Amino acid sequence: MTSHSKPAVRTDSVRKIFKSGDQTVAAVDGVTLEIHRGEFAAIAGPSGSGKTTLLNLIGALDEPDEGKVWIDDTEITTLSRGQRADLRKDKIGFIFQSYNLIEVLSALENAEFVLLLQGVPPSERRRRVTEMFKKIGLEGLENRRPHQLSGGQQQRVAIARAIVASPSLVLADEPTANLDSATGAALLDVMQELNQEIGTTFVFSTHDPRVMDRASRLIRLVDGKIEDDH
Amino acid sequence: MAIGMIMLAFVLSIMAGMKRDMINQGTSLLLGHMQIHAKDYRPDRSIYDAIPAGRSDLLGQLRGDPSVLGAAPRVSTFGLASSGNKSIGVEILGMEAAAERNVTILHEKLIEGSLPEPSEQSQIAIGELAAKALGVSLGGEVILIAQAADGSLGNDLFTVSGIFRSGLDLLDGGMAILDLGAAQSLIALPAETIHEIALRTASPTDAKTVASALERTLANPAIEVSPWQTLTPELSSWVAMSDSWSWIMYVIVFSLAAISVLNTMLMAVFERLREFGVLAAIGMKPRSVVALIVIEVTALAGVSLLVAIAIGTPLLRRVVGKGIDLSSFSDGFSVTGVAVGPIIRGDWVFGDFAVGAALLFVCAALAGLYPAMRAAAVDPARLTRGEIR
Ligand SMILES: Nc1ncnc2c1ncn2[C@@H]1O[C@H](COP(=O)(O)OP(=O)(O)OP(=O)(O)O)[C@@H](O)[C@H]1O
Ligand SMILES: [Mg+2]
Repeated sequence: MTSHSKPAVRTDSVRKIFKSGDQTVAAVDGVTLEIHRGEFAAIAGPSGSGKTTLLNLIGALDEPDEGKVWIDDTEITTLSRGQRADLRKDKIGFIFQSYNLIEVLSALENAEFVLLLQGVPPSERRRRVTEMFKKIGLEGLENRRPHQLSGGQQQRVAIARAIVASPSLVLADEPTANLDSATGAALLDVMQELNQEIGTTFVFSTHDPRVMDRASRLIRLVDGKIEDDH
Repeated sequence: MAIGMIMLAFVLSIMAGMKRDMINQGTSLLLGHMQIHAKDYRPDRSIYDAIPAGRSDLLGQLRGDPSVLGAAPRVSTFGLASSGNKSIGVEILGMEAAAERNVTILHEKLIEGSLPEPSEQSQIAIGELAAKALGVSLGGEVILIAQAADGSLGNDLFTVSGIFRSGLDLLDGGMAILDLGAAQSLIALPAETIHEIALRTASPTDAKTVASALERTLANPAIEVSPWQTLTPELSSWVAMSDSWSWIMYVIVFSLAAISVLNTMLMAVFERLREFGVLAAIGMKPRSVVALIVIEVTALAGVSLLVAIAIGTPLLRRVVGKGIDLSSFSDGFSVTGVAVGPIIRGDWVFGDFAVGAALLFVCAALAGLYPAMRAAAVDPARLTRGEIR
């Protein structure tokens, strides 16, 4: 992959080792890669191959045992917990397999939460979320609570939350795994549209070949190592 | 926590009410808020240690003082009361019924007759236990014998004009009340000579300051003005004890509130681990999470306070208005020589409660700190790994 733009994320020989009992597992074992702005990249691989662990590392949720990770030129391993939180707030959007909306907040409040953390004024937050909801087919559902929404709708709210603050990078760990294939496909349509229209960078992990087919770049992991990247 | 606050207000109210009753009862029955004596009079109470100033002058001066609401002159000694072949030892109190009414509630304690007045046939009021012991009733005759100031043995015949019941065995069984003049003639004292002046002031609580101010005004080094705290150290130590009980109540209520906050919030935090993981993942700083929970706890305390006020106010109004009737348990009891009635009325305790409620807020916020730190410590990577359900 060649690109003239600056990479949104870069890793250099990152390793993450887990110890359970006397067994040690290198969940991510020497991964070097660059993700550029505007990419729509899938990380694939069998269960236990290290997809989640790698996403945690490039999302500054976890620290590598070896190697380095840069997000927009910021090297994360030297940052404090608070600094990493700030980095995530400003640069990264997260979409989780199980949606993880906050139950006591409405759809709109969930979606505007990152903007709230960023200190964006209320009217501006409302404007941006409403616009985003319109774009991804959530119009009219603003005041619903998460439990009043279908899985697909909840995941769209999660997408809105992840991208409304215009992050450098959106990470999604198996975003369609809890959805039926039609809903999953519709969700991918939304992600793809956002990627093409506003150039949001997506990195998502998946088991599903139909999802991999949508990606502009496919990174295959086996035993924590990149086996294939095209 | 609301329950804790109601409990606090409730107990503080009753304690304050009991304290007020204790002081009122203790001072109004016989003592007065303060007393004037010759410097050497207490504690021996010798009949020779009379107040070294003319009674009329002194009373005139006291009654002209704005801080004095009532002044009652007295003489006091010990003697033997007998009727027929029965006799008992008594404390003899000579007083002016009219002046006494302005200082004490002795007259309210009469169950029959009235307080002794100056009259041809000397009158006496005794307690109902003494009347029983002597076998006399209203209108009956009692002979008093007492050591007189001139060295002779004074004795006189008295007609029972009143019988009282104070609830205190010491008074009801061993006190003889005479008219001041009659008492003075019994123990051969001139009319100007008195042992004691009992005073009533605006409030018993500031007796100490009023007493020392009065002492300065009187400007007689041979006279002392003693507030009730000095006169009955038992009562004042009871009051001090009741104050320390209030403190113990504070500590108990605060600990309960803190424990309940800690418990509730810890549970809430553990139930919401996923939520805190999400908040951390999307970029909420640990210290913002701490702040969030401390704010939640404070809001919780605020709601509790409102609930406590809503529920507690009518409850307290009852306690203050009607009081708590303990008559089904007892007819009242006596504490350190003060009779407490079977109905205990509370007192409004806005000040104490406001301080208590404010402290409770601080307490709640502090107790919320530990759960808050637990919430802030949630590792967002555990959320994505699916380790947090
Ligand atoms: N907290 C942990 N403690 C011990 N081992 C762990 C821990 N987290 C992950 N692992 C191990 O690291 C390896 C990679 O796990 P990871 O969750 O990254 O895989 P994955 O590709 O996301 O799998 P899946 O497709 O099942 O989600 C696995 O062998 C797993 O058992
Ligand atoms: Mg995984």
